[in-house]
Amino acid sequence: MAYLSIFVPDFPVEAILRREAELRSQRVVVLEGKPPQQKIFAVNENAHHAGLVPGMTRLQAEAWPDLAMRCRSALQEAAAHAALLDCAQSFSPRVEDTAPDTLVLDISGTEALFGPPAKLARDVAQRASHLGLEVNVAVATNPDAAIVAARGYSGITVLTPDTQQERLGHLPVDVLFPGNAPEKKDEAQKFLEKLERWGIRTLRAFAALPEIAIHERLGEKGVALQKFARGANSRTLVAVDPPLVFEEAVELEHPLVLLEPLAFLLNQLLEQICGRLSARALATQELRLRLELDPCMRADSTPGTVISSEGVQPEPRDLAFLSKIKNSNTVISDEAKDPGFSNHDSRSTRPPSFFTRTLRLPVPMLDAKIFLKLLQLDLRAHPPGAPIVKIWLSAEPARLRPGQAGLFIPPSPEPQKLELTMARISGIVGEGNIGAVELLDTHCPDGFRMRHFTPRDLSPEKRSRRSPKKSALARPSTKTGHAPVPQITGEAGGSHAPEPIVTALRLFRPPHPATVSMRDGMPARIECASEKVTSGDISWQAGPWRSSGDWWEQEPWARDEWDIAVPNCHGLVLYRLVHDLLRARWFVEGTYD
Amino acid sequence: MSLLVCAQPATGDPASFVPLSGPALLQRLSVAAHIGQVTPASRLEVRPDPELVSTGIAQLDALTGGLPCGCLTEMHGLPSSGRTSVLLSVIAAATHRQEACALVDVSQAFDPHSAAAASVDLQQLLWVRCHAATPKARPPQRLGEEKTQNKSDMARMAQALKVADLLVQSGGFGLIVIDLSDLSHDQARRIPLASWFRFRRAVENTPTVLLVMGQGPCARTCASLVLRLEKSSAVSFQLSALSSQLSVVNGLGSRITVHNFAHPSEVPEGPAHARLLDGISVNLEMQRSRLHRKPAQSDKTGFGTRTAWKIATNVF
Repeated sequence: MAYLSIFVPDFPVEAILRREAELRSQRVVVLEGKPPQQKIFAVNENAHHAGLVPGMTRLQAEAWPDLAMRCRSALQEAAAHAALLDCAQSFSPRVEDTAPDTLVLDISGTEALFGPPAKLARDVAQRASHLGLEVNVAVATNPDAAIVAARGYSGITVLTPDTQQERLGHLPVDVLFPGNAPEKKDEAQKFLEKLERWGIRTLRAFAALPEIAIHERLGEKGVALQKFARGANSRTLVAVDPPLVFEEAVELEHPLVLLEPLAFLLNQLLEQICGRLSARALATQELRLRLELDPCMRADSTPGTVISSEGVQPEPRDLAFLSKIKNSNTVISDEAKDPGFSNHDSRSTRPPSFFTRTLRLPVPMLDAKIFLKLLQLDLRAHPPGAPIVKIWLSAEPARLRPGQAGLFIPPSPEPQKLELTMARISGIVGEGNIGAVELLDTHCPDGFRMRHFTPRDLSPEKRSRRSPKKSALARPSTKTGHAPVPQITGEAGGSHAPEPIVTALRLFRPPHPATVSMRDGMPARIECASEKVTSGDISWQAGPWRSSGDWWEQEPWARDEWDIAVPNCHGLVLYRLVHDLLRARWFVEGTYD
Repeated sequence: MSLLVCAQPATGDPASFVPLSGPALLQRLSVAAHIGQVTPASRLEVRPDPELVSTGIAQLDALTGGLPCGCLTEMHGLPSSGRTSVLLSVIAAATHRQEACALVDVSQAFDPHSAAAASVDLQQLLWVRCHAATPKARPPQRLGEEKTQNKSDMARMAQALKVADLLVQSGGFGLIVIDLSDLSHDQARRIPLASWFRFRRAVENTPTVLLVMGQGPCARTCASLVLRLEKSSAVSFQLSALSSQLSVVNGLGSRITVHNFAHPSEVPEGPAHARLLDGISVNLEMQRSRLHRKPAQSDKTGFGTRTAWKIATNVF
């Protein structure tokens, strides 16, 4: 049996550095507590070398130059832990979630798949590094020995049965008490003080003590720790099956008002999520963005004031974003008009408001750049309306789409490119003005709705399932000829019988109002202000065809339709003339073309 | 070959410009370092003829051979000349081939019910409705109205060009239609030639058919195929709708009578509700084609369209 342990040194710091990788070369401390009683909770190696230790107050830490201080973030620690689990699960299905910073994998039988343990350990460290975490990896013959080795040795350590006890013996006894849990700190401190008084500093010295004497002086806990130090402890791995939740979060120290820095953060989150999905060989078909908005946003705050705190000159689109914030008629803005509130008080008392956007994709994708562009375009069309203080981004996992191209498959847009193109076009023409048409089961004129355009998947197997039969047009139920949607069938490129060419109607949206003179109950002359409709005597008319509907709804309709021909200098133009019976008005609805 | 006198290196001596021909010229070309990269015309790659796809109209296919892939095709005509009917037929044929199609609709004139009646697979059609901000206040004068309308039209046309650019660059569509039919010819002519060149270059060597509809030709030399449509002087109307319905109900099985009249004034008198618009006759002329320098046969054809209710009644 072989076990691999992953240990993240200074886990709270690593969780912060996962988002701010540029701080890795600096001294970083993580603070905990409420101001002004904040204390250092964790430090990175650089800060440790400079003399900073956990427990120091913020005031003491500020004496060090070039020190990056960050508040502890439970959200980011949870995301880092989830990423670590994803990394481990991509190598072995049996993973023990020992601690937030420690995982143990059962790697028995994986040699054929991933190679020898040393290579596997390197791959694990590399994948964790891709997910933004610098980890220690150790391989040993039992879980506890692997944990101790990962905590004690940095980098990659592979212990063989022969050398395991000897190498563990060099480690200090501190590795038996890892973590920063405050409830265990006192107990560990007492234990270490006792060993220090006995002159025991390494695991080898501790392992050499007689077991009975240890039991007499330190009790059962001492005996267990001694077995731990010998690397001889044998236990069953408690494997976990974590749910497939892919969520990343960022807690911002200052509210974010500009789109550009938001895009920068989203890019980081998307890359992390895509990395995690990739580790599990998954993709996503739905992205959910959740933003916690600052409830203290004043409606009268000028964009310049907000931007000056960031030190960035606003771009025109950012100013537009800010102006939308300023002019937003959300509850937040209405509350902000209250003249008596102060920023600090309102932040603590007012409930936070959230802004959620969901991005649904037609096919599973795994491309952070496309996701980012889609989110950017969406946020530009739907700005949050207030500064942002927290960001959650989650992905609904889906299996990767197997694709098999064919020589004889007709051209079809790539789904990723198509989504991006449609999002860009949507930004130009407006949402709801692009898509595929779906006819509604109604006789109401213009009875259709727009839906997302997704061309058929033309994989060979799906094409072969289609029925080759060809449906005929059914008899129209009304004169308008609203025939049911024909089911287009047949093989690609196949020949089909020639169909009669349908006289098409071109609609005027909105219809042009017209003044119609009647003679013998029939339209005789039409006058229309629009230059697209010819005014004059009506040469020929057919109708009326009366229809009505939706009388049970709020907006009933009833109309008479006429087909008319009006001569102009080029000949005849055929129009559809509509008399709205409820409003007693005439419209030119379209032209036959 | 003797035309290539200027291919000699300029030595500054006018006497050195001697006409060369044949092997001597090729030898001189290979010696000259700075023009050694010139490829003789005989070795230039011949551009292959584009693949042609069916329009769904037999007469049109017989005339043109189909619409060329990777080329810009222009179809123009006045209102009620059958442009949209032909367009729907082209889209229906493309969707029958399971190709993804896109329609950039400048004036939001597309009627989904007509398309469904024309057997267009609406799931395969991406409809982009160009949308311009509605003018807030309607000026009372007619002149003001026209100016506002023109501005709105130009804004929608600019949108259409942007959208078409994105669609063409995106690739993968079998047919992209830019429908400028409701814009006046003068407005459509304002589209710079550079835009049409860009579109033509973008679709080149792709299986995409780029089709432009308008009231007049606007893509000029960028169009590989230009078709002009005009309605025939004969407009067919149906008179016996009511009687035919009664006949069907009674099981008499009599056929619907269709009359073609050169002018509506020749239509016999009858109640208006007993008439039906049956269809329009379309004349089509091929004005220019890159494939046919001189058409071997007549470059004109004609066909008729049928209204949806007429077709449905026949089926019934």
